[in-house]
Amino acid sequence: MATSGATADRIDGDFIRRFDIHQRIQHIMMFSSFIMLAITGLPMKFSDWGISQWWIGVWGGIDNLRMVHHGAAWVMISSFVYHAIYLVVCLVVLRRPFPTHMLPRFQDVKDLIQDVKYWVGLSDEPAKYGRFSYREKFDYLAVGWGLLIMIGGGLILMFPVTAAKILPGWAIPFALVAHSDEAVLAVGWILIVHMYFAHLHPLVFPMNKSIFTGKVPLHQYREEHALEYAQIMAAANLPLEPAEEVLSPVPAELPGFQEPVVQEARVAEPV
Amino acid sequence: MRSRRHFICSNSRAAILGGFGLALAALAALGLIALFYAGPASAHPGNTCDPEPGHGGPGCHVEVTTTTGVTIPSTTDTTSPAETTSTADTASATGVNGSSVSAGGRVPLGGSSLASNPSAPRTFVDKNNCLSCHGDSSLADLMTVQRPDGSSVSLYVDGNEFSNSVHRFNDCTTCHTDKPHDVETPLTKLSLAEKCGSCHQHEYDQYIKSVHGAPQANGNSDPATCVDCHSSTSNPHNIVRVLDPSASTYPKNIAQTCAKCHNDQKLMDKYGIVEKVYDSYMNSFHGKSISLSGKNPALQQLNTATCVNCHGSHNIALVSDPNSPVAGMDNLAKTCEQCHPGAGVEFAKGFLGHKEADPAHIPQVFWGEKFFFVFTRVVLAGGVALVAGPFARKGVDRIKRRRKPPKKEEE
Ligand code: HEC
Ligand code: HEC
Ligand code: HEC
Ligand code: HEC
Ligand code: HEC
Ligand code: HEC
Ligand code: HEC
Repeated sequence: MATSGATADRIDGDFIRRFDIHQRIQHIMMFSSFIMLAITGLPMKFSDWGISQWWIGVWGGIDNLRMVHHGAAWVMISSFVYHAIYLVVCLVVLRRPFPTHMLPRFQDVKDLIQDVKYWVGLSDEPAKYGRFSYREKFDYLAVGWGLLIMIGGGLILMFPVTAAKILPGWAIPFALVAHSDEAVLAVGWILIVHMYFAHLHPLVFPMNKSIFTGKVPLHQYREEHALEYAQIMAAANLPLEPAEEVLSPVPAELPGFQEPVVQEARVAEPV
Repeated sequence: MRSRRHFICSNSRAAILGGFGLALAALAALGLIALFYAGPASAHPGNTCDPEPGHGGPGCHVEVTTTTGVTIPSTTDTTSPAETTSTADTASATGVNGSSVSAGGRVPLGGSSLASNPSAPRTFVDKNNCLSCHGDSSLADLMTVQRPDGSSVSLYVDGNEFSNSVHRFNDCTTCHTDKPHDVETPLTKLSLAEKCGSCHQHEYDQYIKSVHGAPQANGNSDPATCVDCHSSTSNPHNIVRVLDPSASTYPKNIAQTCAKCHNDQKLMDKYGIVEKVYDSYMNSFHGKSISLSGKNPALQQLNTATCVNCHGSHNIALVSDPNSPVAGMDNLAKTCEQCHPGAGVEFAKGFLGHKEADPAHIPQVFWGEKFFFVFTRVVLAGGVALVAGPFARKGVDRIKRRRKPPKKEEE
């Protein structure tokens, strides 16, 4: 896992390696099953909408739709299990503290406050993030919580009779409520937040490809993870600002293009 | 200089293509799974009567009880000289009385492509040419009888509909006696049921003790009689097989058939039936499952619970009656077990019935709904703020910058 620490070998030409092969596979499993689950699940929830009925008709009826929903659910469950194994191997076998970077810290609250100040005009610089920003942490942990609810609720709905043997009867209608509401929340979050930061944000428009390539362009990394960028550059004994021909100029209107602050912050937060 | 853009694209294109390739492969695999599972359905078009446990549809009841008490009339002799096909004049009569699916206009039945084409001429028996008068649409307006209560009943019989009815080989006189004009047809729901019961003894015996049949003897004609369930127009002459996809008793249509009365607020208020049984059923898992099953009747999976799976059809009882299949958790669990093997009481306890969850009825679900209502909105609002924040700041900055340049030029 050459992507876990802020080491010099993370640099790969004009890029910084950010995701290893497991994370990339997990993401592909996750988003393909997520899309399948959304387009087969939402019509079942909003079944009185004309478009849902048309769409269910395209699939040849709700039975086929439910079959595909169940199939995609198993793909999502596999990616969840894969990730759990990945975490355990990383922490216990390889003894790398890397996953603990995802845990929320007090610094995240301070970052959020700093960002809010920036948004409303009380400050002129947004927060600088390390390996994971508070938004990425929230995304990740929310997916974790969401998956627990979706998988738990989904399994109850998939095996209602077995579930009633273990759980009280009300768990079945409760699972339906939780499963369908949490699904709408997940889809809404993806459409609003993920769509913006992974596709529409000027740094990455039309699409942030790093989750597929595993690599982030240097200039983008400097914007998005200024603190870790500084650490990596320091580890590689490279200047913070690369020569012109290495790094194409970043459009000036991008937020957070504040060179000196990076250096201060590096001192402030050694890892 | 090496083009950066090009570098990024060429390097990641493979990965992206790979990603989409994998996703496509996953989709294809899922499609195959779906096909695999959908396949068996087409092999058993009549799978509403799948003998497998867990798939017991209403069809199974039919098979068990259907022949009980039915006398096969001698008039089914197909060599009879009076056998006829629906003729041009009866066919043209269809337009007058309307077609069979105009039941009050309120609850249209789910038609189907495989349903017998109503206008296709079929053989039927009319030994005494009764339809020469009763099937003549030009006489339809003249032929009416007054009921004691003042309402008038049309004596017009749509030969076209009759030729598609399950009784088309029962001559008119097997139901109406040899001298139909000698007896005054009482034309009440009870008399009708009695007439059907003269052949379908078993169904009649059950029906007359049921919540729909018992009140008839007291002259209450609000509850259903045979044809209210067996014909979308409550017409004794266009009854089709119960599992014909166009039948009002077909699993996909039965909820709408019951809804003729049970979705009628005024009628239900009269009997103190408070639950919105039709709407709650249609929103339930079973209801969605049946209403969203495939359009092609040969491929439909209709093994899900309809009104009659839970309540019975001819023997429907008050839900407060201890013998009702939905009364008490023990009975209810047995009802679920028809299709959910090994369900047990705990499973039945989780059934909301026709009621909404509320603080008294499965409160966990009620509070769960409330929690998720608030929770989803709060989190989504946070998400909107997370996007709107940088967005707003960038917009403001841009406006400011646009205002500044002239100043800079002055400097
Ligand atoms: C409340 C609606 C309802 C009423 C009233 C009703 N039926 Fe039925 N009937 C059904 C349904 C639904 C079926 C389909 C089979 C099932 O689910 O039991 C059916 C099935 C049948 C069948 C097919 C064989 C069988 O028993 O399953 C016959 C024959 C029949 N009904 C005759 C009658 C007669 C005669 C009457 C009047 C005495 C009558 N029905 C009243 C709903 C009704
Ligand atoms: C010549 C024309 C004609 C023919 C043929 C005919 N009917 Fe009628 N039918 C009438 C008329 C007119 C009435 C209404 C007057 C009455 O009640 O007697 C009627 C009434 C009826 C009624 C309602 C009786 C009541 O008063 O409640 C029935 C049932 C009936 N017919 C059945 C039949 C049957 C079955 C046949 C064939 C065996 C048949 N009819 C043949 C003309 C005809
Ligand atoms: C399956 C039995 C059955 C057959 C076959 C049948 N009828 Fe009827 N018919 C009924 C019943 C039941 C009634 C309702 C009368 C009652 O309440 O007693 C009825 C009523 C009628 C009425 C009175 C008006 C009405 O619509 O309620 C006429 C007229 C009539 N039938 C004519 C015919 C003719 C003509 C034929 C042959 C083409 C025929 N019937 C075949 C069962 C039958
Ligand atoms: C003269 C006897 C007779 C009378 C009266 C009669 N039926 Fe029938 N019914 C039959 C016969 C015979 C069959 C089976 C026909 C066949 O299989 O082709 C049948 C079939 C049916 C079926 C279809 C059952 C299935 O397997 O799908 C229904 C529903 C039905 N009748 C309802 C009624 C109703 C409602 C009435 C009253 C209006 C009625 N019948 C009156 C003889 C009668
Ligand atoms: C899965 C089983 C099930 C199905 C399907 C079902 N019901 Fe019920 N029904 C029940 C149970 C259990 C009750 C009693 C508890 C309640 O009222 O919710 C009930 C109660 C009723 C009542 C009495 C309500 C009251 O306020 O007293 C009516 C009427 C009724 N059902 C009609 C229908 C109709 C019509 C349909 C089809 C549209 C239907 N049911 C489908 C299980 C079912
Ligand atoms: C023609 C109108 C009509 C049709 C069609 C009809 N019902 Fe009913 N039903 C009634 C009426 C009226 C009552 C109330 C009877 C009473 O309480 O005396 C009733 C009562 C009931 C009850 C008992 C409710 C209670 O308070 O416990 C059930 C269950 C029921 N019907 C189910 C059904 C089902 C299932 C169907 C469809 C297969 C159906 N009904 C079709 C009119 C109808
Ligand atoms: C006529 C058969 C039948 C009866 C009776 C029946 N069900 Fe069902 N039910 C089904 C079918 C079929 C499904 C769809 C199962 C599937 O495809 O996963 C289903 C699904 C369900 C589900 C949703 C399961 C899931 O996959 O999410 C619940 C909960 C449920 N039924 C509860 C009940 C309860 C409680 C009763 C008794 C009051 C009952 N059912 C009676 C046939 C029936």
